Amino acid sequence: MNTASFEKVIDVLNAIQTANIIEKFAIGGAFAATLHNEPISTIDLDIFFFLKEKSDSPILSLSKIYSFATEKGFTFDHEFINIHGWLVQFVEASHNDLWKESIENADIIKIGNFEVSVIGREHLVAMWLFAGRVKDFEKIARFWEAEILDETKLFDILLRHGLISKWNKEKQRFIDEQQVTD
Amino acid sequence: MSNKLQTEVVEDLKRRKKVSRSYLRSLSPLEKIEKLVQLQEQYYQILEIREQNGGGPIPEKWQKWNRARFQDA
Repeated sequence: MNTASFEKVIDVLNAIQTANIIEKFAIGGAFAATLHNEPISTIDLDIFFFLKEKSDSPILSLSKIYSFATEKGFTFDHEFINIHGWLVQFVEASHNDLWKESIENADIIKIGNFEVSVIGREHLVAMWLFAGRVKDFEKIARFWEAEILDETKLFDILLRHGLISKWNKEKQRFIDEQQVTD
Repeated sequence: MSNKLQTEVVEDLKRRKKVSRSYLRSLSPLEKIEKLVQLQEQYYQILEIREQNGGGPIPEKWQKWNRARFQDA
């Protein structure tokens, strides 16, 4: 597992898209946080995607990806597909408006010889706030501390997805009030 | 340790953390991924040492990560 094998993972993701299995995808989670900010320890690569062929069943929605992976000789470990030594978790995003918008508005980041969609910083923060786990608040804190967020864009997203009250309720977990008043 | 010295130590640690994070942010995406891999390996080593010394077992998710890296298809 190394950076060269990571480029192979992107190649596989593009191949899944070229095979018309998924319409769009974007990297999310801690891996996206690493690309936007600084490395954060994580075991997997979260891929948020839309299926080309719409399905109401989350199991059916993943079956084509699993079939593709099997054909290519990739192995599975519970919810993960092992692609060239990287644990990849696929998350179908069409049932969540925030996730959908995050993919539609993803940033394009050049990684080696590839250009790849990565969920934008402000959408990531909204997704972490929505998920609301301790590790999510830690990632928000790091982004806030790094001063890499467009606050106008962030609060617009939070407002449109009904997350403002949650932000106000939880913000003491990830914002150093002293930093705000400095 | 006097209060003044303690404050100085804390401020120095904060400054170092800021410098370190600023450096990490300045890396290219590929360099960040390389650092991420190093971080994962170091974290797994810590978990192994902890387990070998009677601490808690390596969490299942990290066992999955370890299996995956040796099963490169």
